[in-house]
Amino acid sequence: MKRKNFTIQVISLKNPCSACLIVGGAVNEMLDKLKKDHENIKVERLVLEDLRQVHSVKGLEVEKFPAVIINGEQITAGSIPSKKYLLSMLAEK
Amino acid sequence: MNSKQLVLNAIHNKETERAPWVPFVGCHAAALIGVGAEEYFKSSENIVNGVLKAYERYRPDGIPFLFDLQVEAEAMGCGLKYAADNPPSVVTHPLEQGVKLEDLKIPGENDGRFPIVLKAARAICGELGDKIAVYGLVTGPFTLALHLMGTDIFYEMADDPDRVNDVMKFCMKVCINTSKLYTDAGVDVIAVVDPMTSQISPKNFREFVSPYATEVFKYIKSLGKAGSFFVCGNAKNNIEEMCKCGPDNISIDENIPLEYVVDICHKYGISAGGNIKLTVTMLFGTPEDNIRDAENCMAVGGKKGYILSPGCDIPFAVPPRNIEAISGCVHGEVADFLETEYSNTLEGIEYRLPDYAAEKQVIIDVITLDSDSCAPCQYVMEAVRAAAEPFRDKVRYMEHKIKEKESVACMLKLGVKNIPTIVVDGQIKYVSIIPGVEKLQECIKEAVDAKGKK
Amino acid sequence: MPDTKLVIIGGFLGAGKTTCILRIAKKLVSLGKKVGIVTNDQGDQLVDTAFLQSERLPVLEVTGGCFCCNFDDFAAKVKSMTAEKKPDVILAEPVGSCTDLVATIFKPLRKDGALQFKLSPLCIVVDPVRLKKLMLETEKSLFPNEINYLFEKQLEEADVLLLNKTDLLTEQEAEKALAFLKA
Repeated sequence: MKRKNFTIQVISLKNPCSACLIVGGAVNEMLDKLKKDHENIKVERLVLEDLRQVHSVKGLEVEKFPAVIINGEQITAGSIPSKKYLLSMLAEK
Repeated sequence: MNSKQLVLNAIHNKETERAPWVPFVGCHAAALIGVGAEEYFKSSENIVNGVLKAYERYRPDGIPFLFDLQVEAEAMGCGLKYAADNPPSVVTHPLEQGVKLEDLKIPGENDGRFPIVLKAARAICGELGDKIAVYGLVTGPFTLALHLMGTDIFYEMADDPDRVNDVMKFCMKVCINTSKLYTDAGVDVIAVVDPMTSQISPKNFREFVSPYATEVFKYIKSLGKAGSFFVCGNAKNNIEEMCKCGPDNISIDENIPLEYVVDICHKYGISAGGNIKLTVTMLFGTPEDNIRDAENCMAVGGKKGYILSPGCDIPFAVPPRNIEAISGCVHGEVADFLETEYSNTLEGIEYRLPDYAAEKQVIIDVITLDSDSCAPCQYVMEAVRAAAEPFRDKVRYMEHKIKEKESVACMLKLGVKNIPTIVVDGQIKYVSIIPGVEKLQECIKEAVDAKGKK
Repeated sequence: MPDTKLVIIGGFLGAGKTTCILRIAKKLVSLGKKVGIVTNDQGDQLVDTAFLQSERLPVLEVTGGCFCCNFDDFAAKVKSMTAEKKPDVILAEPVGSCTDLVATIFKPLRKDGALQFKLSPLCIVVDPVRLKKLMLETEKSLFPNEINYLFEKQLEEADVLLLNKTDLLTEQEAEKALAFLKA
């Protein structure tokens, strides 16, 4: 049985503060590692230049950044996602 | 009282004549001197010039000599990726790449960018140290541990807590050593900046951060310096644990209501700092938005144990006029700021003051930002309303909101310097003070009686 | 006794707050009430400008804040609308991500001695898709989800829950959802 495909979007603001940069860096790092071991992941990065653009992001429910959206569903808002959660989700068929 | 003493008094939870202003100018200083962030962080000359420029433009009471949470990490072998308009990011983590903890060295003054950073610190402390409080920012132990271990730290807290504690113990020693280096360079305040603690629960904070942060603050105290604990993000649940670590001050960003932090900090005899909104206000707002945010923060923080500051490191692209607006507000010079800011647009805007002497009524002009959104302005308007009421038609009062250009013209014509200000029949009576209703009524009665005699 | 009622309608981005507010406004206008709207929505596609123009409803916008409820601007807009337009009802929409509405909006407004309006119970618009996810997590509870956690906090704070987009639910699902919310 084929594994499910996942599109993971990381939404961040153009001018983040130091803390958001570190969280964003950690999120991106985690996803890059996962991508190496899982062919069924596609990672997209979206940088918002203007707060008004929040309405154009499908699946964004909580406007805190960096936000992680997987297959159109937001899973984090300003925090680092749980690796265990991601791994169990990626194992879904 | 000089600025430096103002900061030190506030940080030690004492009464101050006004809230000290400490803008966290990091990579924003690069924009001030027209260089990119990478060029800035790699050059002591640029760092010095940037901070001196910020001092000149923003008239702070205190300032960090650098805001870069990657210095220690880089010196221990973390790979960095630099950006044009942000601080650098850590992209490789030695403990993840197979380096053993016991092989990591506590960075000294000759490691990594420490020579550049310390040279800048000494120059800045030499130049500004007698005037303002210079802050040395040390990367907090948990954020440092994340830099060394990568994101696995979050899982190893559950899977291998002993290992995490070992790494935290090592990071504590790094914090202590860096604190010493910066103290020797001449700083007045050591700020332990640990934003990643907002990602963990109070339980994990108690286990993995508290023992180590407590030792760091004990050490800072032993050096005779003030210690500040900075956190960014929604760390509301951890504020109390942070207080228990023994800092003199806690500084937060807009994710946590300032009122909440001030209450908890004062319970522990600790001062608080923050939390002007970085994005909505400083980056995207107008100068008036910044004045309003600053006024509201100062109304909440008060004049005991409170330091006005942005929520975190000021973004590169924040318009300097926004920061200057805050400085103008802090120093009671809003009028001067607005006059310069609107020098072009005020042309042709005339405000005719009434002939106060000829008017039958006593006229009270109240110059505010906007009583609907600025707390001190609101309290002043309430006081004026209550005080004027018994005098009925003998008194007329008007609010002049300086977000309207005509009100700025009025403010300048009246010679009013700051907001909120109460002017009675053209005479400035109360500046940035909320008078008691009785006192204000006495003042109004005097004016009414004087009119009656004519 | 202040005449203007302030109704704060919260909920996540995309839950349907703005659409809800417009529908409620239309209903109130049809009942002869004077209505004002304070919105956080900058999306043109959701603002029924024709209706707003035809009814000449005062609408003020609060610049979206991504890190907290922009209370200062929100309070300013509400107060100025009350003073200038004297509406019977103000329908107000704070930032979608705010999960601490009681602490960041209700308490400060209540503390304000010069309140010119009466605070109505806090309403939260609930998207049934988000609710389903919360219900599933509650049943399975394997991995706590941050968004569900924030959502749950919003639900706990609310005085009134408005289950929106019920056309997306079957009758059975709607019953289950209502039972879950009531519990």
